[in-house]
Amino acid sequence: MRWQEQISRIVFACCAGLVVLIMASVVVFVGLNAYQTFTVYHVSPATFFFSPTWAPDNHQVGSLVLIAGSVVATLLAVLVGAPISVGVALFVTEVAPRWARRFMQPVIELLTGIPSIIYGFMGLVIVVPLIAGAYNSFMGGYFTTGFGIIAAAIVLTIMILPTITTIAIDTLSTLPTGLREASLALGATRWQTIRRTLLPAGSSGILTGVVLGMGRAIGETLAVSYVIGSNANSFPIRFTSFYPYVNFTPTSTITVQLLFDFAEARNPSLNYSAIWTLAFTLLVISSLLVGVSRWIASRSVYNTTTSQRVIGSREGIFTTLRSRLAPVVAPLAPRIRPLITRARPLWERIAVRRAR
Amino acid sequence: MGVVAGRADVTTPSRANQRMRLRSRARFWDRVVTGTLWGVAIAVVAVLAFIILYLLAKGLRVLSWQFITQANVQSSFDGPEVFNTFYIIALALLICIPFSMCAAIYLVEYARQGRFTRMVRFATETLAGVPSIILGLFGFLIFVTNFGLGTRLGYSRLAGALTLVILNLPVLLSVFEDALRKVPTELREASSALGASKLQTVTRVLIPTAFPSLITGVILTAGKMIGETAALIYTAGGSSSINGWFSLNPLTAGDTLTIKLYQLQAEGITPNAAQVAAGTATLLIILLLAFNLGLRWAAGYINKRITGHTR
Repeated sequence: MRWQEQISRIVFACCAGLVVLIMASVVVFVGLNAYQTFTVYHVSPATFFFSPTWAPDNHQVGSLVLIAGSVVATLLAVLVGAPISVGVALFVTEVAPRWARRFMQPVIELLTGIPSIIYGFMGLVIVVPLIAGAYNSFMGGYFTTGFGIIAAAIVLTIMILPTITTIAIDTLSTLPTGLREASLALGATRWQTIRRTLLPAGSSGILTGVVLGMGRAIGETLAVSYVIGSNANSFPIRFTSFYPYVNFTPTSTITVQLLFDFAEARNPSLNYSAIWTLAFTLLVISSLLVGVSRWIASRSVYNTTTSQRVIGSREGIFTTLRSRLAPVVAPLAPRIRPLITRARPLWERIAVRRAR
Repeated sequence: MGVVAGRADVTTPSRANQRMRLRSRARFWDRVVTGTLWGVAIAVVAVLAFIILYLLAKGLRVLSWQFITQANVQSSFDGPEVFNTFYIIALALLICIPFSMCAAIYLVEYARQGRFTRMVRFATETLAGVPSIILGLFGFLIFVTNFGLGTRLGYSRLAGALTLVILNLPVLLSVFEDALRKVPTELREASSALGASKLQTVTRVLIPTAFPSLITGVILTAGKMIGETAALIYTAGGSSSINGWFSLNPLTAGDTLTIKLYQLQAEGITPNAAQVAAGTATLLIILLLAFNLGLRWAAGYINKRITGHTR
């Protein structure tokens, strides 16, 4: 009996250790291959990261356009997608009647479940012609095929929607009901409650979702590869003297170039090593995003599941609650106070009416 | 008395007006926002409905029983892909479930807060955030080739499945962990009080109690696997022999529906590529819907059988 316990414990621990082993070997082996660009082929890191010419066959590996493509597509997608996602989450948790809530649940799950290649296919068939048609008819004299960063951003917007929405719903629905009731009792409307109480209180959870959505967007390959046009040497944006301007030409991202170039790369060649360097860059970016989301989540107070996951301690619940709640309740107070001052005249009116 | 009343009469109406204005403005914005939220939700539903209806409308024309079964029309024949999709998923789950289950049990039941646990959590979250294309290349490096030096498994369904395992291990792990954590502590205590060892508690109390949630987690993961492409393109290989596609040999190459869809677009050598792509996409989405709904129903049924009530 005793030895069974010991063995099972060791087996369980080994399985947990396997995850660490896998993650470590991903970093090590991708890193080892990535390193060769700089050591074997003597490409300086400055050239690799800041040169805009990507032509591995001509020994020119500059990934600036690709990195810019990934970052711009992700930022555009999040800029549009995050407000919509939070809107859907607010709809589900605050506004929707019961039937609508029940209806939205599977809708969001299905959106999560649709494969990225289908999104890409739809982008190719619907979004790209739409952009081309709109641009070509309104911007007289200029012409676009529709492939490019805008199409990618639109597809990515829809793809990160369920990610952010799910996390935002989790966050908002785990907020204590007392917050809502307190705000409503002060006479706040639903929108005032959302804006002044729920969004601030759930901000860390929602931000976690947004950052995870960015991680999904920057790592997305297939959907983007359908609509981006994969021209590795044309910038997604250009800077005029006043504002950045989105180019409607085909461009590329890190992931797309990984996908398309890897098939053609012979093993010992600059092309092959450069692809691994790109992969390692992407790995670093996405790990940083995960780190940021972890950091934000660790500052969350109301979302008990994440904070448990991060803290994981077994100390007394009241100690935990007090030490965790205090820093959030304190800055929350000035946000609730204006509600009180606004509600006071109302209360006075009621009091006056009573007196009469 | 009169003075006080007079003052009250002077101040109250203006204050009341102001109050009313604020109030009505707040109500107005509340209505606007409520309407906007409804609009946003309806738009999202419309997008989903459009995707599904569009695919069905385009694909059902192409799709027929022969599209799946008849091997003589080479270009528009999806049988091997359907088989490979499920074969690779089954293989991956077979490998993935025991490992992630054991790891989850360790984290929930055995682990104390410490450096090792922190490391496991950190690795899990980071691995979950690694883009699937990178894991695909990693799988190519480790499973398909021998660290880039020679051939190990070659392009094979096993290599694809192993890559899927790496991709889904953290997902399944956290799902299982949540499921096990939800089991009430009283059950553990009761089991210990009856003299059961920790291992007995785990196998006879925890896992049966958490079983419905575990199944749900597996279904969700399998659903994700159906749609996975980037991790499989450079591991599972892009071809499947038409004659031997029912072979269970894990070492043969086999493309899935998603890989076929990718190749139809990327290579463009099939004469009626657009039609076949539409048909394949539709088949994929139908399979996905059927899979999700069917297994969800099965999970509900199992849950009912085990716990005796519907959730």
